[in-house]
Amino acid sequence: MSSKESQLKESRMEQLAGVFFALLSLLLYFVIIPWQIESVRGAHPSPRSFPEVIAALLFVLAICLFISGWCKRSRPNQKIFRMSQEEIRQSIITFLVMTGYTLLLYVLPYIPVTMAALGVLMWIYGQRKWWKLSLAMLILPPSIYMAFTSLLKLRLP
Amino acid sequence: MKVKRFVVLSLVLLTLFALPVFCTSASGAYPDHAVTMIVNYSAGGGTDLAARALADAASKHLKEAIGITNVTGGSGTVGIAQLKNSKNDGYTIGVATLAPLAIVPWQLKVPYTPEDFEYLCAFGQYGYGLVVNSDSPYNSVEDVLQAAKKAGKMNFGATGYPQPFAMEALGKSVGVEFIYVNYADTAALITDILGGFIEVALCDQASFTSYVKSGQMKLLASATDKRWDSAPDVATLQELGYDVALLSYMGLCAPAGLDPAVLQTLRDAFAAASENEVYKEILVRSNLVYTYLPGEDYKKMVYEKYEEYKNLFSERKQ
Amino acid sequence: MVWSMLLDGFATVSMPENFIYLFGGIVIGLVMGAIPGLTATMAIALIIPMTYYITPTQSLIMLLAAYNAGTFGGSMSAILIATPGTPAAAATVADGFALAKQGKAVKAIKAALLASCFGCLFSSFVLTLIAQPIARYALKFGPAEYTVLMVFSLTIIASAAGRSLTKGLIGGCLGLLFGCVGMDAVYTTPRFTFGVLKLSSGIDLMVLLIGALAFSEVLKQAGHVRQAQNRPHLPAPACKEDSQFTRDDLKLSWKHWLRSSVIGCVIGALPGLGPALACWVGYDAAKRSAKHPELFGKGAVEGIAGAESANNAVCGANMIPLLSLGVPGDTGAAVLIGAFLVQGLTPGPLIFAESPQTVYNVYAGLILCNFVLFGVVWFTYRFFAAVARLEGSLIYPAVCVFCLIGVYALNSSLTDVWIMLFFAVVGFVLSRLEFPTVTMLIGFILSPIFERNARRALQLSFGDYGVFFRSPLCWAFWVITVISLVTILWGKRKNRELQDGL
Repeated sequence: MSSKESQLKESRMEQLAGVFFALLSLLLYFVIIPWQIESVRGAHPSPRSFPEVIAALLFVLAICLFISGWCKRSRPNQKIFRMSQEEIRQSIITFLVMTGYTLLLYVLPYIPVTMAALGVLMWIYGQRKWWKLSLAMLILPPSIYMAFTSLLKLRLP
Repeated sequence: MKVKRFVVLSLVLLTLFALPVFCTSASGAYPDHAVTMIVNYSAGGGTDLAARALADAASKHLKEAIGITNVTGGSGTVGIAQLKNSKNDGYTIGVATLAPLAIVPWQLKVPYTPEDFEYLCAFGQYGYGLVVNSDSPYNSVEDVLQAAKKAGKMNFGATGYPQPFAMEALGKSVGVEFIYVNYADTAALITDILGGFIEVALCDQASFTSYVKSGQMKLLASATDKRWDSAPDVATLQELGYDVALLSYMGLCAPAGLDPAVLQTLRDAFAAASENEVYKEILVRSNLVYTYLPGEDYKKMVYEKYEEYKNLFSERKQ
Repeated sequence: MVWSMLLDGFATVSMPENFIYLFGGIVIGLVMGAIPGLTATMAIALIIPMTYYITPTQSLIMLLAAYNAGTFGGSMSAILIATPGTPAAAATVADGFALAKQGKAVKAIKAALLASCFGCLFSSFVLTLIAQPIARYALKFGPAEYTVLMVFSLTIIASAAGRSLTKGLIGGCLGLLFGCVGMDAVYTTPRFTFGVLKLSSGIDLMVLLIGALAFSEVLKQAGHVRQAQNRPHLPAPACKEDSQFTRDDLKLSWKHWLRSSVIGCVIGALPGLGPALACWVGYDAAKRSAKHPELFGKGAVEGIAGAESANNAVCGANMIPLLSLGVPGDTGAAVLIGAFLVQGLTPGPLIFAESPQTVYNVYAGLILCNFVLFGVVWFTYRFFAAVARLEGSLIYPAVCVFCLIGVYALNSSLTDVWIMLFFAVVGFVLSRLEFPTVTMLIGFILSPIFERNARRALQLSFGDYGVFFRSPLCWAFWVITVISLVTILWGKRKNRELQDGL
């Protein structure tokens, strides 16, 4: 098991986050809000007012965060955010599997896709016992399917 | 080794289950399996209850079950959009009320037009009315208009279109501006009227009948083409001399391009179903107005209203 | 008079043909509440069409029992798999799951159960005894009053911010922004919908919760599960007390039960709020009055006590405006109106004249269902808790599958699933960097209520900002808000060591 880690000191994190949110709030104010919300003539408060106020607030807070990170940069016992290679990999794979699962549901019926997804996920999480894998894969999706369609009369893909 | 076995097994299972997707459906008399009805409002609401009751009645005539799916959102448009994209083999139909077909397209960008559907029937009518709090000093539409004229403008509450058009027409007739205060949530409108925070509202019959019956609110006039069943001595706006009547229906549609024989079967089934006693009873209890329009008539109405609202909305944008 | 009708009510409800509906309602509610994605409100909505053929008493007690049981059921999945089964259980996730990770899952379940039953019992009694005056008073709340109430609720964001006020406020801002997605309240033009039709009705709270709480939790745990291969996903209890609700726990909790039940009653009686808001306000109130607030979020039984009694108190309290005025207290009660109508009854003042005995049967049923719920869970919790002993590598994939199907089932929409995935990433990143996701959730819940009411108040007053300072209720809430802010900031100054940055 590799123990390579990504590390991020807290002060740095706060600075980076501060910059990120500041940029986000500017993007919101000048780009996204005008793009998404029509301006209504003469209306006050208009549909844009509330989001604009929040974006402005976000900007101020982002600056505060940045300053806080800056002031801390030489503090000795900072919290360090760690994430091992393993964690990063597993999280990303899980996310990708779920994304793939969702995409497949547009085309294929529910039961086989869920079976496959369950199998893959369990595999990734280290389950190797044959019988446990098959049991879960074979029992869970059909039971979910039946419960939702007959009891709740919902249509599944 | 184990990995290979696992992969092979998964592939086999996947193919086994995916096969039915590629098989053509068994040919036989329509319908030979259950039909799905998409309801574009949430479960438990007035439209949903009526639709379920009708579906129950119709399934006896079709000799197949009709299953309901609620697809909500976008003021009723998401369900209709999904109906448009469904297969037009007659196994998917949906509730298509007038508002999302003819009105909402002028407010939101929707991915469909009235031409994307075949019309089965219209099965219920929404009633509307002008209400005030029971303590209100207004006892007639005249009173309201007089007061508005004196003040120069007046707020009114409504939960969505087409209600505001009625108030605007009323206002124009006496040269007064009625300002539309939107209440997306009917319960909020009810509490504000009862609490005296808003003076007058153009509401829908289904949600407000109980308050009129209990005396908490006064119905000044019915805003549709009929009087309210629960308040038969209150006149309609048209009877009072104002040229305004809001018409909105609950209807059933199927995706366009449906086989004409299938279309006819469905239309017949629902025509028969609308005579069903249990269904009528539920309609009455949900305070909806019983009505029945055959498919062709509903289609004509939708097209008419579509044009009408297009003009109304573009007028006001100026 | 009241007592005799009430006793009659108890007699009627205990008859086997009626009791079975009560029982059935509880079971259905429990199961649907516990499954993430199926909410208590959904349970009611699906049961209603079936109630046409049974008597009013049977249908109403079944529905109310389902609603109550569902609100509790959500906390079970919150505790065992960090996924709130209903939005009302969102506040229980933090402490509940933390307790579960310490091997005290059963204790947490029992704590939630007791708090829930207490909350609903309390509000049932309030409902039975003083419904009408409360309902009439609740009518005095207009848009301006709601707005100031929301301003007060916004201070909860600051209180929930924990160590870093700045990060908490940023989370709150994000939540407020996400709450703006949908149609504008006044002009009904779409906002932030990016052309996606589904978004024009806004982001569903449940979708956001499952994404930001449950699925992001899965992503967080993803890295560790492989190593913990065959070990159960939750540790076993270390000692007997870990599985019991001890006297110490009771001593800690009972005051929170009372306080949060009152809060829940107030929120339930005011139309337009609901258990989702109540659980956070109750949680926050518990935290502020606790001796060791820093334990909240790490496994404080008091947190569960506060959250759960508040959200179940709403179940009883939202019947107050419903029965007295015919106005629903929240969406669950709104769906119940349909149930009344189907039976040919009209909720509102008339119902006391039309069929008073039905009303008292409902009261009796509501009171009784708490005891039945308690009994049912007391005998079956082991079954639910067995989930804790399953391996991580089985649980987490199953949770993923349930998250997806649950979100899909809400609106039969795959778009919702994409929204959930989006929030999973957001939640993952935020919580990894120690931004409190709680503040985002609260901001999201409050944003629409606040903005809608503020703008409506301004519309009704024709633009006059003075409307927010006119009525005595408004002033009362301004005062409470100021007090709240002062106490929060004061508290943060006192505990400087625990504060981080600003």
